[in-house]
Amino acid sequence: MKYLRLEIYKMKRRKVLLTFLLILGVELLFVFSNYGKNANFISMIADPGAPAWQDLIIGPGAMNGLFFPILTAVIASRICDMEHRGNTWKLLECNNEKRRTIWFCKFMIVEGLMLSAIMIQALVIVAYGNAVGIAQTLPVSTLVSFVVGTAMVTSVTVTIQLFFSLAFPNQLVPMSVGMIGALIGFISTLLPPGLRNILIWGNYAELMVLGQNTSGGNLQAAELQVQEINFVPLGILFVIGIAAFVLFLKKFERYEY
Amino acid sequence: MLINAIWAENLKSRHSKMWVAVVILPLITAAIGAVIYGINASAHLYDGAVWQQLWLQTGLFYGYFFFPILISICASYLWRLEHTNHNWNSLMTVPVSRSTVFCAKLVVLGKSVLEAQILLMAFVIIVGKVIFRFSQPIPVNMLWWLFMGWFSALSVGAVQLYLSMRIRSFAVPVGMAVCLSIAGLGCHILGFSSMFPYSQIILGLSSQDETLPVDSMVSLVLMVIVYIVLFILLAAHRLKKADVVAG
Repeated sequence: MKYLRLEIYKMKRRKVLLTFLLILGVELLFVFSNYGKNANFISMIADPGAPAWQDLIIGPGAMNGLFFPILTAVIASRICDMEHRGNTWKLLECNNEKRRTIWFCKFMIVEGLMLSAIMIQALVIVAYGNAVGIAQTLPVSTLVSFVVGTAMVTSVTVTIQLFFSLAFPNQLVPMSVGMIGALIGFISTLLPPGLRNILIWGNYAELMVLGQNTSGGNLQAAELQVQEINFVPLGILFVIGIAAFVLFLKKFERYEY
Repeated sequence: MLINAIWAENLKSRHSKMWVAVVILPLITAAIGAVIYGINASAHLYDGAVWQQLWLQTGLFYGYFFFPILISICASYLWRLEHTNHNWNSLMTVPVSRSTVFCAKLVVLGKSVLEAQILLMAFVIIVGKVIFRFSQPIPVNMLWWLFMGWFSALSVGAVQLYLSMRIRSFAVPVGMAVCLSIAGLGCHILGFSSMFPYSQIILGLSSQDETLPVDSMVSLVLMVIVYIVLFILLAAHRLKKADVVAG
């Protein structure tokens, strides 16, 4: 707890929260500013049988693939970069505290911020939906599934970004990883399921709770279809993520700075 | 003097890992473009200008978000060295004008961006000719996509270099590039593409246009030059007036 408090103290005047709010704010602004002009969504608002809530959920869902890898990379890099400057690693080594404590503290901060981003998104979805007066009953289980699924994928990306940010003094490497993750995450909805599941960030596409019915082979189908989130690939990814977390932690503990 | 400064900047970035980003992003972009093109082609969604369709799938999101992010990472890297080990003090004592320092970094950044563009075009040609075996000849438009894409990226480069010069963090300017890319997309949708650096890049790459935006060329070139000059002046002014923070 003492180290966690120290980590938070170290973030002071580093404007981590400001950067976090700026990127998240731009994402939410971009997503929700489009709904007011979306004729398809407007037509669904008054219809209790139309999947208006699901349509609202896929807005942030589609953009998370782009924004979350970058947001994770920026926050992780920001809180790890300071340890690479000067002789900070040597100072940390002199403290009577294990390396794993540093790892856990930094992970908790990045993970905590990313989880709060997901919660903020969920709150904004509910607030926006209520504000425009969606007639459909709020599908709580779908929203919870979306939040849990996003958190599962994001936890894995946090682990990856944290390791790269801690292992490489040159922050070019973790930022490049974040950029590639954002590229994969953003276009993942256009990739076939098997391929996107292998690419870690591609699993953000599994969180689309509304899609087009392309079962007839028509890729330009306009018929919307409510989809259940498939937790099998997300579960597999999460288990691999836990293994990666342990592996990266071991690596970090033995890392020579 | 500028030649010497460029030479020095090249030397400083010689053993950098900047090439990783410069090679990998175009490679993944081309691979993803190929996959999406392949899926759509198998559904018979395309006819006619196949190269244009392939470029649309490859360059669309690249121009919207990922090209500016690549530029911002390279720009952050070029200033990273100055922000560490008291190098600001060394830089401020070299007998070179402030604007020359900034221009040299812009030239080196421009070189990396050009390399990324050439690689992307090479990968697109490989995808078209080797994977999809396009019978149509490689279009002349590709020269526009390459050079105007590169040229319009220079204004983004100038902005990002300025941000990375002022902000000591590596990551924050990259995060800002994402936010500014969204603003660029907004400007592009509103029809002010040539007015804002991050939308100039979309116009320059012109992946969405069936015909090249030749009409906008004069305003695009002019505005890119205006932004480059503006940010060189701003950077030089900042370096002359404000004290550096070395450490």
